[in-house]
Formats: sequence, C-alpha cells, structure tokens
Amino acid sequence: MPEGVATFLQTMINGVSIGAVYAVIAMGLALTFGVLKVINFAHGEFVMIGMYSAFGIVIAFGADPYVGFIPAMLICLALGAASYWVLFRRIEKKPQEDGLLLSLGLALVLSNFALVLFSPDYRTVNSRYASLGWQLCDLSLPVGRMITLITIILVTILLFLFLQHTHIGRSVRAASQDRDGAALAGVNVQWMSCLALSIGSALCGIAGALLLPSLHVYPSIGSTFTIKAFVVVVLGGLGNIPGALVAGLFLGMGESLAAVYVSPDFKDALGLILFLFVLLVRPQGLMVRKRIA
Amino acid sequence: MKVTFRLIMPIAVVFLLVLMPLIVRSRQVQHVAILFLIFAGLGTSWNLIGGYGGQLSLGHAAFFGAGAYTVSILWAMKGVSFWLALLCGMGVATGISILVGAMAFRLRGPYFALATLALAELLRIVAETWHSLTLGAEGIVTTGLRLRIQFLGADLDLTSKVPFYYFFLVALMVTFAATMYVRHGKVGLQLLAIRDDEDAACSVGVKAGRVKLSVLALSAALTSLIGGIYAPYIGFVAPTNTFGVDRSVEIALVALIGGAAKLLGPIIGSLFVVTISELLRAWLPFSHRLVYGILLIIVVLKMRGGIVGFIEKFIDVRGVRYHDSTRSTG
Repeated sequence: MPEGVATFLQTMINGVSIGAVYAVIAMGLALTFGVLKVINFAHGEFVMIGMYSAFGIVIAFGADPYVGFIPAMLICLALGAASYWVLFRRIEKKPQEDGLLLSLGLALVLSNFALVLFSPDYRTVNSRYASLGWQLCDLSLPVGRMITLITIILVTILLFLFLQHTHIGRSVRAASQDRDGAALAGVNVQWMSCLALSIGSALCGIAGALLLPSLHVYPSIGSTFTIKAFVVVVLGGLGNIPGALVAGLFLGMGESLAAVYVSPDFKDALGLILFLFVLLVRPQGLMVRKRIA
Repeated sequence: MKVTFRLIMPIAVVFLLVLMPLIVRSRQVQHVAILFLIFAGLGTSWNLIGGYGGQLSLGHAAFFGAGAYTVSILWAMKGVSFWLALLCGMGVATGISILVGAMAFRLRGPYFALATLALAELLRIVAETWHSLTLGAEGIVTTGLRLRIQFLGADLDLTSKVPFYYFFLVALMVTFAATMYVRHGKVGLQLLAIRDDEDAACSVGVKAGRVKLSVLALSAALTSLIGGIYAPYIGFVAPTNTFGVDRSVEIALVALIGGAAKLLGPIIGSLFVVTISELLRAWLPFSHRLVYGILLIIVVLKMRGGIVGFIEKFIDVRGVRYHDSTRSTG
C-alpha cells in the first residue's frame, strides 16, 4: 500500500478509536444535559473516578484491566445517583447558573478528594496484551484499542436500544424533550433525572476504565475530559445523543488528522476553536435542524 | 455615632493595611497578606462583570495571563520599562475582552461561561505552543539581577516583598474604587437591570451590549493589572499558573463565596479562602481546594448571597434598609 494512503488510513483508525471514547463520554453529557438541563462541570471527573476504580480493582484483585470497566461502571452509576439525590435535585427550579456552579463545586470536591486520597502521582496499569496488535497490510491495530472500540460500540448499541425500545428509555426521552409535559403524562421526572445522571456518569466510568491502560491517571485529569465532552456536545447539539456520537467521532478523526498533517500542538486547539466557532455562529450545534439563536 | 463609626472603620482598615508590612516583618506573613490582596483584587474585578453583571465568567485567567505574559515578554525578555509593559498588558487584555465580548455576549448564562472557559484554555494552549514568543511550557523567568523596576527615580528592591505589597494594595484600592464608582453610577444601575432581566432592560432603552462590553473591558484591564504585577512577584510565568482553569475558578470562587454583587464580598471571600488555604496547608496538604468545593456547594445551595449576603440577613450593614443588589431571595 502506498505510504501516503497507509498514513491516512492509520490516522483514520486512530481517530475513530479516540473519537469513540469522546463519543461515549459526550453521549453521557448529552443525556445528562437533556434531562437535567444542567451544564455538568463534574462530568469529566467521573471519567477520572472510572480510571481510579479500574486501577484499584487491578491492584487489589489482580484482575485484567479491561474487565475493570464493569466495577468502574457500577461505582460511577452509584456516585452519579448520589450526586443527583444530594445535590442536583435541589436546584431543579433554580436558574441554570446555579446548576453550573453546583457542578463546579462537585468537580472541585471530586478531583481534590482524589488528590487527597491518591496524591498527585501519575499512575497506570500495564496490560500484557494491550500493545500487541494485528498488522493488516501496513496498518497496526493494537488489541487494547480494538477492545476499547468494540466495548464502546456494544455499550452504544445497548444505550440506543434502551432509549428507543424500553418504556423507561422512552420516559427518559420524554423528560428530556419537555419536562413539564412528561410530568403531566405521568413520568416521574425526578427519577428520570436521577437515571440520566447515573447513566451519564456510568458511561464516563466505562470510558475511564477502558482508557486506563493507555493513559496515566492523576487526580486533575477530569477537567481535560470535561472540556472535550463539552466541545463534542456543543458540536453535536446540546441534549442530542446521536449528535454527540457523530460529533465525537468527528472530533476524534479531526484531531487525529490535525496531529498528523498540521502539528501535534494544534490537536487540542482544534477542538476549542471549533467549539468557539459553533457557540458563536451556530449555537444549536452542527447536527440540529432547528434554530435556537 | 453610627455615622462616625461608618466613616472611621474604613479609614482605620486602610490605615492598618498601609502600615502592615512595616510592622510585620515576617516574609511568610507578608506573603500571605499579599495573596489576600491579590485575590481580593482579582475577585473584585471579576465581580464587576460576574456579580453585578450577572455574566458568569469562567475564563478570567485569560486576562490575568494576558497581563502577566505581556509584562514578562516585554519587561523580562525585551527590556521594556516595567510600567510601560504593565500598561501594554492592560491594553492587550482590554483588546481581548472587547473581541471576546463582542462575540460571546450574544450567549446567555451558562453558554457565556463555557465560551470564556474555552477562551482561557485556548490562550493556555497558545502560550504552551508558541515557543518563540512565550518559551512554551517551561515559562518565562521574571527575576534576575538585570531586571529592575523604577519608582520615583530609584530602583526598587525586588528581593523584598514590601514594594509588591504596596503595588497589590494600590491595585486593590483602584479596583475597589472602580467598583464603587460603577455600582453607584448610572452604569451600575443599567448593569443590574441587565442582570435581572436583559430583555426588559433593553425594552426601556438600556444598550445592553455596550454596557456589558464596557464593564467587561474594565474588569479585564483591572485583572490584567494584577496579573502584570504578579509576574515579577512570583518569579516566573508559565501557561498553567497564569491561564489555567484552576486560576479562573479561584477568581470566580473568591467572589462567589464572599458574595457576588456585594462590594465587600470578594474581599471577605479572599480573606476566607486565603486563611483556609494557609491553615489547611499545615494540617492536611492538598485539601484546600476540596474545602473550596464544599464551600461553593454550600453557597449555591444555602447562601446564594455569599458570606456577606448571609451576614446581611442578621446585621444591618448599610445602615439603610434597602434591598441590595443580589438575588437574595433566589
């Protein structure tokens, strides 16, 4: 295969696997925002919690790091529910800024609690097989990335099945589309909000656990993911879950292309520039038809 | 009696503040006092747009960093006079604020916060990657034998904290005076109207865009002033200690905890925040931000007017019973 094509395809493959991670985190944020209407600054912290949970499981039980995503998911699910019941439930009737500030406070608490518990050292786990890969023509497909991608695809399918084809899923969508209308139709919006926040956090937990073997975890890594998640969600349209999926993949591929063909430094700037552009020019997002501003 | 008290108190406080570094010689205590002044100043300038204006900015570090970096590049690297560099820093920050404001003020509430956050992050990345200008992630060193600041013809002793104490004190006083001026003037009234209901304000003829923009520019200039003085004080500027998200959050936090849209709010907030930070440092390292987070949560849920707002419920601080400028009832 000619070198240019191989480079391009490899970039695309890397982009898709990064994009999938962005997508799953962002879908969680889109779900949370859609139902709670709160801009959740603590979203990325749940990724951090997922990473530390998986880390803990591996260290304590010697488990395979890629299996750690199940306990990580459960821990984040519980923490998300707790966050709702203790905190977010109380600002439902208040202006949006209150929710934002509350989530900021939560983010501070979560990341600094981790800081106190784990110290600022970087940690990671090594998977014996993660960096082995298949070589297909000139392309390398590391096992770790493939597992991550496949798990995320499965989780996404499950999420969509849940939202589209179950009664509760339909209730969640109803609460997201029109809170009061859903309440009038008999949906318990408080429970749906709790569920949305829990599932959103759980998605972060899964992503975090899957990322652990390839990234170092440190207590303040959460804010990086929060910002990325916001970029994706704004690109895809706030509250729009399929939009978040597409935008996540789009951003992942865009960053990968930028890193290879422009410069690695530009990679992080790209997302922010797109973000500002979208906020200012088309705040409803790139994937949504109706205008909101 | 009451009038005399209200007149003497501020004068006494200012008097004490001015004398403080001459009485207390411990460099450690001076440093803590300087931190208090820095955050009080930053919080007060944030309060202009974030508190009275109701536009939550989570990217004020952009202006702080603009001031710090401009001074570092012009004064520390290129040998420009410190005062000129400081002025340039304020100019740069004001310019950025006008650009940003013109675009971002179309956004309401949380979206504006996100835009400011993205802006500060973007500047941080630029500072990290534009090596030829900013020396990248290692930052610029701003102390050294060649580096001088002159005042009234004499070189200042930059190894002592005392000159910096007075710089920051003056900056705080300027910021405080600016806030008083805005608050009690026509602009302040317009600003509060915009905060409470922008559309209603526009409908009675308030030029919302212009008001918001001018207040943001003022806030940016004052923030960058403090940033510019911070550069030689702290000894080095790097993308993280100037443009970082943590910095932006701290600035907003000081005002929110102390009481947004209250004159004394950020000052009380700074007192609280710096004291807690110093106390916790000895007892449980790394935990001060945890406490800030808890305080923020408490403020949002229970004490929306901040500490000052809370006190005002019990003590009639102003001597006149009128509803001050905060959504004290939600």
